[in-house]
Amino acid sequence: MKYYAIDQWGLLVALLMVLAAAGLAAYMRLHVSGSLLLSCLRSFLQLVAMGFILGWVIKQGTWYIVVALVALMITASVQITISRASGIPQGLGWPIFLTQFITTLLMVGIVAEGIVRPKPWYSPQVIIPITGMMLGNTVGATAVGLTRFYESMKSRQDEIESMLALGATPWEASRPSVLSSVKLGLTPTIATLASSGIVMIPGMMAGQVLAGANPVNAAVYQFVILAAMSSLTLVSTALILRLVYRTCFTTDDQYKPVVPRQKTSRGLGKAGKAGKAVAKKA
Amino acid sequence: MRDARCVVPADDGGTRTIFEGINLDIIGGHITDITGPSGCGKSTLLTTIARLNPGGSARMSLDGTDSTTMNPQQWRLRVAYVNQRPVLMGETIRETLLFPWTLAVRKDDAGAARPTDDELRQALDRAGLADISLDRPVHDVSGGQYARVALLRTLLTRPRVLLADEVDAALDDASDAQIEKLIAEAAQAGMAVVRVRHRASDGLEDRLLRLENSTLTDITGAVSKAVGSTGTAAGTTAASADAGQMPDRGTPSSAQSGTNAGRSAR
Repeated sequence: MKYYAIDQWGLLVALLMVLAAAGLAAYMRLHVSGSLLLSCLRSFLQLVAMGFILGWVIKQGTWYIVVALVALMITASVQITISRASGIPQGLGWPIFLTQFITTLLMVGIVAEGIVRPKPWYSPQVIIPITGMMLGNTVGATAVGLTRFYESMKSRQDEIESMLALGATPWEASRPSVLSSVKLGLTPTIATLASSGIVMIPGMMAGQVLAGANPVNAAVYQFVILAAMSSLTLVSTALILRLVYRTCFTTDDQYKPVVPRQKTSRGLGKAGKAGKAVAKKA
Repeated sequence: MRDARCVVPADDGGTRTIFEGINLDIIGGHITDITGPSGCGKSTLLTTIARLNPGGSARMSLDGTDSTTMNPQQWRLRVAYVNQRPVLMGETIRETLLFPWTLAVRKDDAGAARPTDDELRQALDRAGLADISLDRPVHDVSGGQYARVALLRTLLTRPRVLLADEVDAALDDASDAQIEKLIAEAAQAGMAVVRVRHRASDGLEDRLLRLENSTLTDITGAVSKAVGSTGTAAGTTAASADAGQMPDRGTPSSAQSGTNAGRSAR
């Protein structure tokens, strides 16, 4: 098994590539050069920081540090989900937290402890990347699902009111929006499932192969993760919508248009991009 | 209905009272029309009665049963609101007409038998929609047909009270005549009908009320004279519009008291 580390020259070349891309974007007047450079720099710092943190956590090898890190990742993922979704009302923090917490618990419980079975059980080199991949996926799906749900409920106002007038419960009136939102949230995951192995080697398999693992083992590993991830993405999107659909109704089962929360600061947007970086890293 | 009130958020961030202190008695078999200037709250009054308006509140009872003893779905089953912009659910006319029976509230209600294809067919024929097959895609009907199918969907559920909110708005005269016929038939079968209309009186109404400045006034006599239609009995029925005092029920005419008093929907 041979591991090819990247030296400072490799890093420099990567940076030059981004600079070249930014230059090209500027030439094409795409107005993305600034944000490309900025996010690139940020992702570099975040990834390196994550690398150091992971290294430290692995070296410590205590279960509570692993649990604390996972808790931190879940909390961050709530923040990132809220900032990525648009048109959602205030006060979704707890439902999102609950959803992420439950899916993480299922992912770690089933995939890490049930399938991979590391020794010791809290082995950070297994738990942290699996949690990261899971959260990276559910953050995207939940944000897309929530955005679509509130959009759909707004555009279906007349239909919802017709349904309620005919005696529908809020859940019955929300169902079409819930279904289309879950479907949309799941679309990228299904696309990943279908295309993996043909046009792309998923990040985790690529990483293992690069690190010198047996490609077939890496492929099986990747499949297990993808399968678990797609089913749990469905669970998390359905769960979050089940928890929040009531926000569109009064206690007397009347339709009530939601007041979207204000996008407050650029800081939230940054957190969103940071989340992507974390997901990619994992 | 007593003390109907509706308070909605105003554009300036405060609240705006659309109406308050409105009382209304609705009688089975009667058609009550509500008119009034645009924005006076006619639709709001109807959605409040159907318990569909977040800002509306009222003390209501139906056949002596207090509305608070029913959940919103059970109430709306009996007090059905047809809105100005109805939406037909499902792919086909059959699906849209049967939609009410896909809802949980009708699944555990023994009295709500799902209509058969034959019954749907007959209902469509009666509504002047003989040329529309049950398998016709919903988006493939004209505006006038759309409104009639929507009304029919609600009528087939046999509510006790029908709240029809400008269901004839922007319709051609032929469709409008069909809608009038459907509503008249429903009222004959004992349904209480409340309509918000913009068109001139069609002579179907037993009562004509005017909503303005939070007050509901019975103007039946004034208009029905001009139209030269039904009359005196309607004038004495119990529509109360006073903000302050509790109205008495009035004296239903002798003809109504026998058949209608029992199904009076208040």
